[in-house]
Amino acid sequence: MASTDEELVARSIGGDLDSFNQLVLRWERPIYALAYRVIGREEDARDVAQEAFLRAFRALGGFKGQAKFSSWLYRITLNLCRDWIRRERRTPTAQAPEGVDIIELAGESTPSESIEDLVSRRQLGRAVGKAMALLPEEQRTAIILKEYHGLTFQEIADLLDCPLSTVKTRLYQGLTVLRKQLRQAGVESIFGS
Amino acid sequence: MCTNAELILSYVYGELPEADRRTFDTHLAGCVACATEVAGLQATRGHLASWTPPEPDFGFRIVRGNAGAAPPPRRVAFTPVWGLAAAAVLVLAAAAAIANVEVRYDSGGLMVRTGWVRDVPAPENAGASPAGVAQVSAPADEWRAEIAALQSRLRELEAAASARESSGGAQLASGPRMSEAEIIRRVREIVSQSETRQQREFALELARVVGEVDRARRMDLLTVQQGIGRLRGQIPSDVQQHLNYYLTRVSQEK
Repeated sequence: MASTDEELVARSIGGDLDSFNQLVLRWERPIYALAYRVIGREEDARDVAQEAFLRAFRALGGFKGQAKFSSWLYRITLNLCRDWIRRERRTPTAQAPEGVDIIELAGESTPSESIEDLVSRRQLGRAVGKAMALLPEEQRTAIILKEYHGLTFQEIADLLDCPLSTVKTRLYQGLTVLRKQLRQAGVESIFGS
Repeated sequence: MCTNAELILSYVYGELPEADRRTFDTHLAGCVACATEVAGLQATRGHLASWTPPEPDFGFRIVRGNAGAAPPPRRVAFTPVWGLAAAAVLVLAAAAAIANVEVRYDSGGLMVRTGWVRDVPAPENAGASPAGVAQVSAPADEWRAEIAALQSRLRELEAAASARESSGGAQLASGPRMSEAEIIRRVREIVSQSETRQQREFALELARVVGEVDRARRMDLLTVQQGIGRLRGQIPSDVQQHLNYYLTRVSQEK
């Protein structure tokens, strides 16, 4: 049976490097996805993800288990993302290739999904990425943590150090603005809603 | 919409208690505005699902810098010190290589070479240097010995630090431990002393080289002057005047 995060953290604190690397392996994709969606740049998101693990490793001795390891890691990652946004002084942009690689897409399609469907999904994803990049950072972060990482409202509030009602307000406002932007981009008329 | 946003949001994300959810279901059946709002939010959530990040190649893993089983934070904290020491050795080696100058002045002209080139086996005709050649032999062995001594000193420091690490708290309790700041200060001190010595030796050597080059130049000029003297009467007087003029100019130049 696979070890829990807490068990791996305890062994890592004891000096077991393999245990920490198991945590890296387990969380690298979610952490990268979080960084990518917040800052919108592939290479920078990878750098942020690596730095997040490195910082977590260095600070492991100070992790007392008050929160879940994943929440702690999310917090480190979000702080790094904020640093990146401040440093770069620019709005995150959703990177998307100009053209559509049909061969690459064919490898991604599932038996139940045609290439045309996949192209539509890609285009929709690109439109969503662009609309998300236009949201204020607080609203975007709330949506990302809720939609893509499945955190509860309370977990998000704890992570962002803000009241529960603030999280809900940010999320609701973000979704409302996003909906309008997607409608303006013609998404609802093309893909239906 | 007649209900507050927080309630609708909790409903859409399934975070309402069961009883509240049933009550809201009943409300939605009779309220077009709230039903429209819920449908809109659910559609937007559906669109969000299509935004997926790329799949990069990961492979990032934490590895140990050295053998041994020290706690991770401490291991990481020590890395810059030895990185600094290694960098110091590199800087010294580079400085020594640059300072190790060889100057040749022969029929091929003035040649300046740097680095450890003099260690390369000399060509077979090297022993037959023409008159006027000033070949300088720098004290390469002394510099090598200094660098070797510095490296040895750094190894001693590293070994001492490793020994303290491996003995852990007992070592800490038994005697004062050299701090990182102290190690850095000592390394800087060694580097600074060595740099000063090398600069002084380089200045002395350069002065010697300049003197020997100047002597060789004077000898060459004398040889040329004697050659011109022997040609007196065999070349036109205006050509000889020009040669004397240029010779005078060259001999006056520093």
